[in-house]
Amino acid sequence: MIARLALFLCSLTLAAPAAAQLRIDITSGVAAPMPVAVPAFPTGAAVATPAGTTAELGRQVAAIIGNNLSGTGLFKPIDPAAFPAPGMAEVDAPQFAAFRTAAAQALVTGFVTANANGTLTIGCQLYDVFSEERLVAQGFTVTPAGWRRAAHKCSDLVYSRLTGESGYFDSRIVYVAESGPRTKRVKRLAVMDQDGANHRFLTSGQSLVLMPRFSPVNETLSYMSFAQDRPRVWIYNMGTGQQQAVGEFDSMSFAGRFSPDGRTLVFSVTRAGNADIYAYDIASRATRRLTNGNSIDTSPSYSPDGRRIVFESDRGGSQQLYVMNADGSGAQRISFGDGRAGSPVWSPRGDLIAFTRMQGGKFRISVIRPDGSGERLLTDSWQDESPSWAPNGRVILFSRTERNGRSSLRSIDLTGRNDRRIPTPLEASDPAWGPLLK
Amino acid sequence: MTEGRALLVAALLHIALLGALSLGLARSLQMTAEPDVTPVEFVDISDMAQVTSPPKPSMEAAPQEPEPLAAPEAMPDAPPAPEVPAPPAPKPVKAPDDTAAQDAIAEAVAAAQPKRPPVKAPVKDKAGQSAALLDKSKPNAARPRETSDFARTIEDALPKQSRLSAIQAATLEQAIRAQIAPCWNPPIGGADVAEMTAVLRIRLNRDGSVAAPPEYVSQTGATAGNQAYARAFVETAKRAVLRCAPLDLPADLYPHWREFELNFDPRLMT
Amino acid sequence: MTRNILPLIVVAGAVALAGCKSNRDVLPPEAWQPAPAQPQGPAAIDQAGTVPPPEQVGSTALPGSQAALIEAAGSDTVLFAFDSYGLDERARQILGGQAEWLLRNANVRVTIEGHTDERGTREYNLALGERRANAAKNFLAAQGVGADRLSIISYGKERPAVDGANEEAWAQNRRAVTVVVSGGR
Repeated sequence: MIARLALFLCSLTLAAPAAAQLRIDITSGVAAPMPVAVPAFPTGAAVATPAGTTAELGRQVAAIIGNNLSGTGLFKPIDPAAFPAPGMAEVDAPQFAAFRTAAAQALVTGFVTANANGTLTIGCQLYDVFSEERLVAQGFTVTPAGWRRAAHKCSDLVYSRLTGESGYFDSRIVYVAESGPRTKRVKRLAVMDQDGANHRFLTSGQSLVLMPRFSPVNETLSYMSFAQDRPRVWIYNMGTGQQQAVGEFDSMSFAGRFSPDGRTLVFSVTRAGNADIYAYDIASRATRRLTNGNSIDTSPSYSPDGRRIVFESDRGGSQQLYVMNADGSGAQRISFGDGRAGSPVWSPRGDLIAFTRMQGGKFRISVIRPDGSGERLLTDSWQDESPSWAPNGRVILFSRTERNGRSSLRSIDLTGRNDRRIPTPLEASDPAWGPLLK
Repeated sequence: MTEGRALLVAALLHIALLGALSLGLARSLQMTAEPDVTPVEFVDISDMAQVTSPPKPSMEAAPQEPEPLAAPEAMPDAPPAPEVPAPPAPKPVKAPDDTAAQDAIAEAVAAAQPKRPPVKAPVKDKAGQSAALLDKSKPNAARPRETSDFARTIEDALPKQSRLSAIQAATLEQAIRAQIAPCWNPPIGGADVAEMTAVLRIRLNRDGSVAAPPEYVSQTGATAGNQAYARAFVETAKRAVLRCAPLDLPADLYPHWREFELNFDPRLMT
Repeated sequence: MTRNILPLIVVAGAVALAGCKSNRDVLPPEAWQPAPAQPQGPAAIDQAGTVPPPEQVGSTALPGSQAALIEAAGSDTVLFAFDSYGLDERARQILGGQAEWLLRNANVRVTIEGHTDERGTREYNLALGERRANAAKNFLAAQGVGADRLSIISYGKERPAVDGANEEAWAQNRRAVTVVVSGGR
């Protein structure tokens, strides 16, 4: 009986709400880069390869990863002198105490091995220094010519595991390289890895070229050229060298962008002093007009689901942003406020549209939600324009022209932090960030 | 006793205990929600003993067991007398003999607990907590002990000094927050992170170091679409604690910060 | 022009000297002053007498050329206000002159280039440049110039006439230029 009574009391107290334990709210932290250790990747035996010895590659791979991570503004690679360089044995069993002493919170290790068939295997492991848990373990097999991609893929794994974002390092940027006096500018298309390596010019500069854009399908670009005094859009396969003119128009066509499935190109065509947006089916080569009216409609950009297009138009009296369905119907203005708005690009994440806000005599990169709410200015300089999103929708690439006329490429995080220069051999403008390579 | 009568007694006790708990709960909610608006009678400080060290606990002073169920109506509104007046006082004062005495008692309490089989641990804690609710206003009262075995279990399990005054609680929270917040690096800019929160349970040793890895309790704002961000968010919270351990907290209040929860909410950052 | 003359003088002088030296059949061209009798060799030039300045050459605009257009109309360029493609009084005057010239030179075809200043996004400015070129073309066509002789092209902000980030430079860059094209199509 007493036991049963006790059981009842027991159950009551279990049901009673517990309120005496402290619960403390931490409502803010600091936005500081995470210290991460990226020691040189060891190798079993230093073997010579066409790309250098495996030991040298191990150092360079670590340097690329450190550079990629620090470029995000979210990580701070620790000086390798602060901790002992791991050997092959420590790759799977790191000396965590040493890394904790160096104030690292995460550790990236790996290895470089030359295989008998001439390929390289590059290992990539990420450890949490506090919990000593291994978070990532992946190996990559590459040809000696492609070893940098393994470093970028490792960076992507580490970055996405620690931030939750998807990666963006294994990608390329295409842009217009500029030289010569401003009144007789020479412009050439150029392509490079997102960290500036493997830079190549694609055109000679003989014809004026503008607006290069990557297709989601690898190796394919669209761009605009004034060759033969006929300004029009071309689709160019970098791998085969094949070119395809987009449509047969008597007037100028320009501002091409690919759909997310790579099958359609939207672009502008002028007509009697106005400009309309057209869609071009790449396979069938058929064109279809999407907008119609006495206005300049240009800079179209697809949403990541391919169902809508954001573009700029002056149909309301000044350049502003509009969103319409992919078939051209239902256009609605989304930009309001001070000044003009142009060159919109829809984020691959779908949540934001980046564009150029022109107000107060300046051009500034801004982001806005597709419904027109929440506009945030990100940059503040003389003339920032031509925004382009990284494949993960987190970083925006753009072109900055200073008052003295010099133009360069820059990138910024969508939180407005980490405005940094992308180095190019010549002056640069009109950039476009390509997709993650496969 | 017949079955019927036993049931009747049990039902009456149910109702009475629920009533007592409800009242106690209401009071505790009131305290934690508005620590500054506790109904108090203003007491002239000069009347109180100039306490420069935390009061020495004694077995008589410590709450022994659940109060008789009628007691809650009689709870006065005045704060209990031996409250430490100045908030920073508990921390800098570490008179060795006082802490030694407290340590001895705390150890005795701690020693009493492991005697019980582990499965009863949640029972003991809840009992201790409900007892703490009831005891708030009369910590020093000596009470007659019940002789039943179960009651003895409860009384042995109660931590000494289970009552934490509003000022002490606020001080402790401030100290913990001030040490954890600068170490927290939330993944702002991540999708939906602005709307996320996460609760971790922290267990510390006496020296402020972590006794166990921070334990995930709960999280808000996670959806099927933002799982990667949700996981990264929780990990930054865990890392914040591990980075800045050991924490520097008043040893005399160790029973209260031995285990606590942290609610990470980046609302002021985004 | 003078650049072409100078080597000729030297050559002529050398020929003259050669003539003096051995072969009297070669006479210097009539237009030149006879070179003074000198001993042979480059040392002779040091003791040369005065060489008269080259004759003036006037420029004559060949019919149907860009220069003729400019001569007739006063300018090949009309300017525009910011973000505008309207023709002001001066622009109409110049285009009127161009139209007359085009009507007199019926076999000449022109391309009208439209340009903008740098204060707009790249794509929009291509379209605005075309609006300006189109406005000039429409004016000329309205004056009777056959539309098949008028083609347009826009360079947006890619080909400024003047480099500079100030109102004076910008004003000069907002323009439509009528360019005579040569050759068939």
